[in-house]
Amino acid sequence: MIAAIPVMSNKKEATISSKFARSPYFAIINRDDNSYRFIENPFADDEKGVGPKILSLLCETNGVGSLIAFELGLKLQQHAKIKGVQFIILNENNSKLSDILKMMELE
Amino acid sequence: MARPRNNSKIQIPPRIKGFNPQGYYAKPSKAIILNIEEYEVIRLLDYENLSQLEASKIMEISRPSLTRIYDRARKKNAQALIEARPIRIEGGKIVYDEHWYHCNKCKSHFSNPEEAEITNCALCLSTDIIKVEEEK
Repeated sequence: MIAAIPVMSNKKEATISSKFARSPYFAIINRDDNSYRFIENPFADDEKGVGPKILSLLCETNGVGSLIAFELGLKLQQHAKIKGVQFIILNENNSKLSDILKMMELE
Repeated sequence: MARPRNNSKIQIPPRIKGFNPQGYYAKPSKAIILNIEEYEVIRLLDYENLSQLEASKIMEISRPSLTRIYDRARKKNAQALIEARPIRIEGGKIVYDEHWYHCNKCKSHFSNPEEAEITNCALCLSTDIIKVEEEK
């Protein structure tokens, strides 16, 4: 399973972004080989239609099958549902990427 | 006799079970129950800025039904704010758009787009998970 988490920077200690599609970076976590990497969001400052664009970048280019976030916008959610993507809605106590990595036993 | 209203379709279960007033000893017995359908109407209209017609199509209920639910939700929120009463988010005549689960270990919610039942949390792999039940 490959999952995407919206993060504020490209570091392990990054805070998880409260806005999914407009997050500056994404952590791409591959559970099959227990690895993770960061990608920059090229659409973070776009005015409109960010959800479908970022979804295509994550799912089609990076093979993401799960979106991990605090909140997902309605349009992004509707597009993701059509693609059969899984949603994981986080608890407020896990505010850093390192918390999630620890929970997924990736560090 | 009036036709019974359809169950409201909910996209994502609420992240929390409610709110408590600050600086005030909240009596659980005085809590105001905000139904999940009332929470969803507030999310779609006031948070996602949809029109009542758009929201009613997403929730698969009539526009007048949605207006009535919204009216109830606003009155309950106002009552909780003014009377400093806790809000509990639960119940309602709802059906979820997908199968949702809650993990008792990491406290996350996750959907299951596959047909097959799952036994582990999608995040922490714990087996202590429960299916988020729909209420009629």
